[in-house]
Amino acid sequence: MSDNETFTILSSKQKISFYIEKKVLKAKIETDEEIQCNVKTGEYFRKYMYFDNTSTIKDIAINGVDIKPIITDDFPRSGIFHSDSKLLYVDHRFNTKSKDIDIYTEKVFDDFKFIDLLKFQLYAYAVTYSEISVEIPNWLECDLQKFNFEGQNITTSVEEKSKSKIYTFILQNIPADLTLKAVPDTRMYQPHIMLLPKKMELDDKKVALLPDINSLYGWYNSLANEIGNDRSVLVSLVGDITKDKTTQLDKIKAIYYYIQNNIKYVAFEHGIMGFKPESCQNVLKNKFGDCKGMANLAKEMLQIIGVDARLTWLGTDGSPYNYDYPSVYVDNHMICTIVLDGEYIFLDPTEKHNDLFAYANRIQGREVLIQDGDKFIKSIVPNQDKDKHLSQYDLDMRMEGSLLKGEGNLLMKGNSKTSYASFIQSSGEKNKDRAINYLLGNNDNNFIATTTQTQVMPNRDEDFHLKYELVADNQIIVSGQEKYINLEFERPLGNMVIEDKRNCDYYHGYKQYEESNIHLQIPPQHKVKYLPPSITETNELGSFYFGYKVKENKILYSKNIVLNKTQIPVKSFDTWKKMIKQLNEFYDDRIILEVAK
Amino acid sequence: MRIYTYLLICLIGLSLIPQFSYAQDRKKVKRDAKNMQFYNAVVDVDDKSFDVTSAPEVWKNESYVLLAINTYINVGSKKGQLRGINRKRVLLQDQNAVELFTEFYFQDSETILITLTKKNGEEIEINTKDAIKVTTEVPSVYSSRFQSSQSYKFAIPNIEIGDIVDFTTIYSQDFGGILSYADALSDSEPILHQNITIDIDRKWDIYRKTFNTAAIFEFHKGKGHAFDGSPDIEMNRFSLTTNNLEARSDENWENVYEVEPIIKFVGIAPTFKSYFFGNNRVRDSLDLTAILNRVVKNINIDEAYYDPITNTVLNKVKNTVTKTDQPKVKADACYYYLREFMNDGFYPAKAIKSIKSGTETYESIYGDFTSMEEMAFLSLFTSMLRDFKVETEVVALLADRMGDLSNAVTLNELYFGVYVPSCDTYYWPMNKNSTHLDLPYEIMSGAKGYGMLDTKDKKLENKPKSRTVQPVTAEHNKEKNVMNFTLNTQDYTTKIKKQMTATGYQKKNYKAFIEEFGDNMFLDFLSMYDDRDVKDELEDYKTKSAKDKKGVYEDFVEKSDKKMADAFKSWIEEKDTKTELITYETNSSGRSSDQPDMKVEAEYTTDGLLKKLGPNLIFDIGKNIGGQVFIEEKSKTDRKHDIFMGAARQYEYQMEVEIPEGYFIENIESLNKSVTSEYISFKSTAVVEGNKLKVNTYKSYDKPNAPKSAWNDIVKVIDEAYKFSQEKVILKKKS
Repeated sequence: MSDNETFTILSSKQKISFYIEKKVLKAKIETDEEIQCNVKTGEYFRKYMYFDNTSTIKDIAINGVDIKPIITDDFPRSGIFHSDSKLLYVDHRFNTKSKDIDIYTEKVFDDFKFIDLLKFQLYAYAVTYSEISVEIPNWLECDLQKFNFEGQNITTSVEEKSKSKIYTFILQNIPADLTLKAVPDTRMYQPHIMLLPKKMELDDKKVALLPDINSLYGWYNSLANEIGNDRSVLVSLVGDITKDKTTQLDKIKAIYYYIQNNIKYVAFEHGIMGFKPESCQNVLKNKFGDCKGMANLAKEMLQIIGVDARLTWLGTDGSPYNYDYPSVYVDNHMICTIVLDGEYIFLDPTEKHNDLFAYANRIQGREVLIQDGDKFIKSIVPNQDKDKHLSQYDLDMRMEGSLLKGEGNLLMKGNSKTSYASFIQSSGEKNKDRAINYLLGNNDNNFIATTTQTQVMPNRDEDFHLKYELVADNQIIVSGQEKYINLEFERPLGNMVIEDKRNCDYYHGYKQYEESNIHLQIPPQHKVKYLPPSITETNELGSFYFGYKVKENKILYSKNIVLNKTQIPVKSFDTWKKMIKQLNEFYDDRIILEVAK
Repeated sequence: MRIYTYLLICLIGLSLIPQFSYAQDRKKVKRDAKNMQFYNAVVDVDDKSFDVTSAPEVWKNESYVLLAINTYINVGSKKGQLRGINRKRVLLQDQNAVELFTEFYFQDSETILITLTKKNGEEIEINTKDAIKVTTEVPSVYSSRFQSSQSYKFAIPNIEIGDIVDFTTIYSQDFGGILSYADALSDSEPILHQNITIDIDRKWDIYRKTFNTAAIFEFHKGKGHAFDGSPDIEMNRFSLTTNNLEARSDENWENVYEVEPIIKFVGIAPTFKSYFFGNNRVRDSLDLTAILNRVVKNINIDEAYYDPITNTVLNKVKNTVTKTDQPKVKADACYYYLREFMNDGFYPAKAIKSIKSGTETYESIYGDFTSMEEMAFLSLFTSMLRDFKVETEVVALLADRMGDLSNAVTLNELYFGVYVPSCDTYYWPMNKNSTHLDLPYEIMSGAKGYGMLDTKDKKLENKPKSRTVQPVTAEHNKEKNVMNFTLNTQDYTTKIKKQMTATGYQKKNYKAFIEEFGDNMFLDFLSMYDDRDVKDELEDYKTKSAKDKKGVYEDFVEKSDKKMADAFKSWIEEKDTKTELITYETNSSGRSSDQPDMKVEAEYTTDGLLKKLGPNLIFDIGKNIGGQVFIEEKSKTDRKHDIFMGAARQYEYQMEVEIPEGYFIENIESLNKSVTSEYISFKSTAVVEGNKLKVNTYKSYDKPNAPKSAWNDIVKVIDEAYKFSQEKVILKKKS
C-alpha cells in the first residue's frame, strides 16, 4: 500500500455558484468531501486550501461541526520572495473508532478573475466519485473551458432551470497519484475546468467582464499604465552604460547585460503586485525586482536610446494554456520585447547569463502578448535550434597503465553555456576548481578534471571554449588477453526512464543539443576485437546517434544528441522507452581490445 | 551539547511573546526605544574594528568576510531578564554573498539596525518597516541568536559586490538563572575581528574556558553595565577578543573539539547555585561530586508511577532474579526487560509526567541531563536494583573526544548511567541513540568521570570514585553480510539472497529495520499521544473484545512490517536501477538478552549489477560492499589535524556468485587486496571454485582516533577499499 492509499476520497462534490454583491460579480465554491481512512490505526488527514487577498474561506466543518483551522500567512511558493498566498489547514485524526468523515468548506471569490480552476482530484489520493457542478445564472455569460477531458470518462449534463443552468461533470474512480519523477504541472494532465466569466447583466445593462483576450490585455495594460515610471532617473546611467558603444545592437546588449549583472531577481506577488510591474526607478534604486519590474526597467532603459521596447506577457513552458483563453491563469511571466528592423528580440532580464539572442528553454515556443498601446500583438517566441545552444566536446584519450588520460576541448553555446556559468558562479571563486571537476568529471570520483585556463567564466557574446585534462580511473578491466574499456563517461539521457505505470508526460524541462567525439589511441600491440554496435534514431522528439568507428590507429566514439522537446508526451512513451533501453544497453557495453599475438 | 548550537540559553518560565503584525505593533515601538537607549549606553560607538573597510588579500576568494563581530550579553542585574546585542560587519565579495544578504532575516523579538556602506563610502540606513513574516527556514548566517520568536525578512535594496552590510540586533528575553554559552568562534567564512563581552552580576558563579585558541575571557571586576545600560560596580565584565580567524576547517574526519576554537561560558545565579554545586567549588568546571550527590539523594521513586510501570517488568524478571545471586544476571534481567518494556522512544508518559511535576528529582538537576528519559531511567533502574539488593553507582562522565574531565563546563555535556561495581558493568539510559544493549553510547566509549554509590546510609562517607568506561573495540561492532548471487543471462537481472548480522553500534545504522511491537508496545505507542482523541482510542481499544482488537493490532503490525520492508528496500535501491524485494524478515532485532545480534534476511532482484558486454557479461561485484569513503586528491597530503574516525568497527562481506552455464571468469587478481595499518585495514580475497566466484572482504577501523602522522597509511587503506568498490568482473562466453 502506498502512502496515497492511506485514504480514499469516497465522494467529492464541488458546487460553484455566482452572485452579485455591491455590483461586483462574486463566486462561491462549496465543497463536500467524504473521506475514508483505509488503515485501522491512527492516521492524520490534512485538509488544506489556498487562498489570497482576493478570496476567503468562509466556512470549514468536519461532520457538521465548525472547526478552527490553522492559517499560514505568506505561504512559501518556490522562487517567490513574498506573495499573498495563504494556506489554511485542519488535521483530522482517524482513530480506531473513526468511520468515514465529511468535510465541508466554503470559499468565496471577491474577484471573478481569480476563481480557482476546478479539478476533479483535490488531493493525491484516489477518488471514487468526483462531481463538479457549476450553476450559471441567466444574467451571467460564462464559458466553461475544459482541459484534458480527452480519453477520460467524464459524464456531462446540463439542467435548465428557470433562472439558471446547472452544468454537472462527473468523473469516477480516479486513481491515486503515483510517486514519479519529472512530473509536469498537474494542469498539464489532470482534467479540469477553467471558468471564463464574460459578461453579466447589471441594472438591465450588459457589463463586460473578461469577454476576450482584448479585455484581458486591456486590464494588464491599464496596470502597466499606472506604474508611474520616472525615466529621467535612468538617463545618466544609460548614458554611462552605452557611452563606448557605437552600434544600436551593442547598446542594447550593454543595457540588457547591465540589468542581468546588477538587478537581482526578488519576486513580489502580493495583491496587485502580482500583475503590476514595479516602477523602473524603484527597481533601479533597489537593485532588485521581479520579472515584471525587471522587464519594465529594461523597456524604459532601452527606450531612452530610441529602441522600440515593449512589455510582454507570457506563460512559460509547462503551462497548458495560451491566449485563446482570457484568463489570468494563462501567463506567469513578463519579459521585454524589442522590435528591431521589423524583427522581434525577446529579452528575459531574469536570466542571469544568457546572451541577447539565446532564449531560455522556458520561453521558447511560448505564445506572447506584446504591448502595443491599447492593442496588443500576439506572437510566439521562436524555438531555437541546436546551433544556438550546442554543447560540444572533443576528447583525446590514451591508456596509461590502468588509467585513461586525455585532453579535452569543450565548446558551449546558448543555454548550455548559461547553465555552466550559473553553476560556476554559484560555486564561488574559492570552489572554482572543485566545480570544474564536478562538471567535467561528471560528479564521479573516478574522474579528475582540471584546467589551466584562467578564464573559466564565459562571455555572453562569445562561444565559450574550455580546455581541460581528464584522468579516468576504473574504466579498464583486464581479463586474460583482453581489455574492456569504457569510453562513455556521462550516459546522457540514460536516466530518463519512463516508469511502467506512468500516466502523465515526462517533464524534464530542457532541450539538449550535444555533439561529442572521444578519440582513444589504440596502444601498440593491441587490436580492436569488439566495438558496440551503433545506435541511430530519429523520431518526433529529435535525433540521436551513438557510435564507434576505428580511424587509423584510433577509436572514435561519437555522440550526437538533438532533443527538441522539454517533455516526453505520453503518446511517445513507447518510442522513448525503446530508445532508452537500447541506449542504456549501449552504454553498458564496452570496447574490447586484444593484445595482438 | 551541540558545539554549533550557538547560544544556548536556559529560558525558565519563558512566556510566549504575543505576535502582532510587524509594522503595527505599538509595544514593539516602545520596546525598540528601550533597546536603543540600552544600545546607546552600552555600545562603544568609536569601536575602530567596525571602521574597517577591507579584508586581507589572502581572503579575496571568500564569498564574504566578517570584518567584525561583536556579541554582547547582559545578565543578572535584572531578575529574570537578559539583554543582548549582536553586531556583524560583512564585506560582500561575490555575487553569491550579494544574493545571500539581499534577503535579510531577523526576529520579531529583536530591534534591528542595518547600515549599508557602499564602495564609495556612502552610508545608507536600511528601513525594515516592510518586513514580512517568514514561514521557511532562516539562513544560518542570521541564526546565531535566539530562535524563540517569529522570523521576518525583507529585501535590502541596492546591494552590490564590494558593499559592506553592518547589522546589529538588540534583544531582551525573559530568562532564568543559568546562562550556558558554548560556541565555536570560527564561522563558514573568515573573521577579521571578534569580541564577546558578557556583563554579569558579581554574585553569580562563573565557569569559563576556551579551547584551541590563545584567546581567553578576561575578567574586569565591577566594569559591567546594569540592565538599563548604566555602569554598575555590581556587575562584572568578561571579555574575549580574537583576530584573523580562518574559515572553519573542512578536513575529513576531524574532532571538532580538537580543531575549532571553542568557548564555553556558564553563569549560575545564586538561587540556582545550590542545585548544581553545593558550597564548595573544587575546580574551574562543574562540580561532579555535588552533582552526583544530588542525583543519588534524589533517587526517590514516587510509588505512584514506580509501581505500575515496573510491575510488569518485575513480574517478568522475578523468576530469573530469584534463582540467582549473581548481580550481573539480576541487573541484566532488569535492564533487558525494562528496555523491552520501555523501548526506544516509548518512555511511558506517566513516568515522565511524574518526574516533571513531582519532587525535585528532575527539576533540581535537570541542567546536566540531556533528557528527562535519562533521569527516568536512572530512577527506575537504580530503584529496581536496590529492591533486588544489587549495589549500584550513578555515574556521570564526559565523552572521551571532549578531552579531560575539566573540559566539562556548560550544561548537558555530561552523560549519566548506572554502574554495577560487582560485575564491572555499565548500564545506559535507553534513548534514540542506544539500539545496542550491551555497549555504552558510542560517545561514551572510553569516557571518563565519577561514580557515586546509591546508598541511603547517611553515616557512610559517600565519596565519588574515578571511573573510566572501557573503550569499545572493533570486535564489538561488527557488520557481516553473507550474499549469494544468481545471474539471469536472459534478462540480465541478479537475484540476491542476503543475510546481515550486526552487533554493537553497527545495529544503530539499521534501526529502521528493527521496529517490532508486542501488544504492550502497541498500547505504549498509543499512550504516547496526549490528546483526547488518542485517549479515547486507547480506552476504546482496551474495552474491545479480543476479536475486535485483533484487527487493529494486526493492522498496526502489518504497518510496521511494511515500514521495515520499505526501509530495507530503500536501503538496497540504487538510483536508476530497478529493484524488486521478494522477501524480507527481521530475524532478530538485537534488543533482547538472548539474541543480542541484529539479524535480517532478504531476497531481492536488481537490474543494476549484471550487464551485457559484447558476447560476454560484466558483473559489478565491488559495489556490493556498500559506498566506500573517497578521499579527494588534494586532501591526501598536508593533513593538518589528528584523525577522528568514529567508533572502532568492522565490516565483513562473504559473497558467492554463481557463474552461469557457458561462462567463465579469469583474471581476478585485482579482487585480491590487502593493506593494513595500525588504525585501519582492508583485505579482500577472491577465488573461483567450480562454478562459483567466492569473494570475501574485510574492513576494520581498529581505533577511533589516529595521529595526523598516520594519515598517509590511512589514505592507502581507504583508497584500496574504494578501488575495490569499483571492481567489476568479466564473465566470458565459452567458445
